[in-house]
Amino acid sequence: MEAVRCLGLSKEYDGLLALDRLSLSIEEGTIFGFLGPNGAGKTTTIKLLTGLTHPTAGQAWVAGHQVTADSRAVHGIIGYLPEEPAFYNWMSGREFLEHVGELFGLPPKVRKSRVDEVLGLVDLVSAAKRRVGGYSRGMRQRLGIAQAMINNPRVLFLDEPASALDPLGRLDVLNVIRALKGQTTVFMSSHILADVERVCDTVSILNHGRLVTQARTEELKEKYAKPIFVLEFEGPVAGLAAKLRALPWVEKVEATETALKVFARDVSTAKRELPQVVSSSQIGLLRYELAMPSLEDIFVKLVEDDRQGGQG
Amino acid sequence: MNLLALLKKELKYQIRTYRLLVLVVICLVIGIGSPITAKVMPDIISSLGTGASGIQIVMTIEPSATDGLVQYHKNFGLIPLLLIFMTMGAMAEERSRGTAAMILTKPVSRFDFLAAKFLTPALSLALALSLAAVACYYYLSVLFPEATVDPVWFAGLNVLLLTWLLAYLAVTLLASVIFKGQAAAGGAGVLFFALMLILGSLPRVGAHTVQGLYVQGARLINGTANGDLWKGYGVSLGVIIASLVTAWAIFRRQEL
Repeated sequence: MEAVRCLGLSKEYDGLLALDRLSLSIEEGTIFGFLGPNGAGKTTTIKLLTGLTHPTAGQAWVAGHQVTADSRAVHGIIGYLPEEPAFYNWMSGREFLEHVGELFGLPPKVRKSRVDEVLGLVDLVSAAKRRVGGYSRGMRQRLGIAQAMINNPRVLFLDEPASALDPLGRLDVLNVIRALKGQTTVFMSSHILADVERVCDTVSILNHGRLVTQARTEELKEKYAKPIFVLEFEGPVAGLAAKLRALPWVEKVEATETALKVFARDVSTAKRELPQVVSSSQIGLLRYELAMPSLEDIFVKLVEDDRQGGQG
Repeated sequence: MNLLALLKKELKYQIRTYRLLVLVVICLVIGIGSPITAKVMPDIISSLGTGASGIQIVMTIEPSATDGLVQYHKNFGLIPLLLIFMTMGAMAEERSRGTAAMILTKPVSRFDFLAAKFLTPALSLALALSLAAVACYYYLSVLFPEATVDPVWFAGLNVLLLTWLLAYLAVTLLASVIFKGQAAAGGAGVLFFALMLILGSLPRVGAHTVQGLYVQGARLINGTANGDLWKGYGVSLGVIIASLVTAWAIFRRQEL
């Protein structure tokens, strides 16, 4: 079953098209990464899907409920973490979660046990009685995740959940998200590719409000990626780089003083012939690696292609 | 159900941020202080004239319960400013900080959210005013035992004050829905109050303003209230309803 479905979803702010006919579909139980540079329309999409703003055109469904027509039903089954979660600073972390649980109509006993559960999940048990106003950014982010999960949501919307955190904080948050796999559908927007690569099954790339692509993370890598040959030498490689650039199976060569990155047009030919070319150069070889490109490489390529397409 | 949860949270907010305490204390000071001031003021004024100045002030009029009531009514004159200060951030701050967006993605209707923002300070005000009224009535009966203030009539005077004050509360809440900054909302509330003070003092026009109801409160005490009393009620209730309906109409379509 589809957890989220958008059909021609558009949003215009004062004549500026923030989202342009977005159509996508997300399977239930997956962790979905919504990628895009800043200002691509990620937050707008999440706000539309959570009913915080209204679409200029198009429709959206969350767990089968149409967002604009049945927003109360949608709100009962989703969790939402905004980019910068805001709390009532005069409340303690536990009090805030209790309040949110009450809004979901959880009976007192269930509420208490669920609050304990989510506090444990985000590692905030010891700080639960402290005022939220005194929480660090990482703690606020984790409390934000806890409040978004209090109702065991069927779909969890996380807007840049880790982008404002330090590396350790990011790791904590990503671990929490990873632990949700299979339990709930996670719709996570981010511009940090490494985070998405770490936890997401499926990704969509958004640029200037338009969907560039949607695929499973691994499929995307396979589809768009050609391996890169990474070589390091004992001596200067300028001559070897020039020689390689002249070969028909080489697409591009990036060279530093003693290292090369060879992008092959024909990978199988490169696998056969590159070792011979390197050997004939008589320069001592320190490293020879066939590296897979990261999601970041693919993201940059797709966004650049989209930009060029848009300009053309 | 959710309205109840929201009311509970708003009440906690009023208590934790000392808003309720401040309101109750100020109203109690008015309730207790007004009859006392009325009683001792002639003595204080008389005492000012004695001593080295050689001037003697003789107060020929005996203080009465009516003086206490006049003082009570007059002392509430600036309470709208306190209410504006207390309400100006109610919606504006929630929207600008992002807490409204967090809460409104839960199964909470925007109507309940707005209703809680009006009802809680309104109930706090009603409580504070009731305490002030009880205190005032008690001190009037102790300090002016010969006078009898009809409790039903006195309750009526307090209902008038409550209605008049709620009009300022509703207008400030509307401003808090319209403006994103609480300072702007507060400014709009103060501007409305100033406008009402000016318009309320104008002959013919005054009776058709929120402030007209307050003026009728003074007339009620002096026994000179006229048909304009109901006009004042009508205008104030109209302002309350119009402000809340407009606030709801704006807020239900507002993008967060």
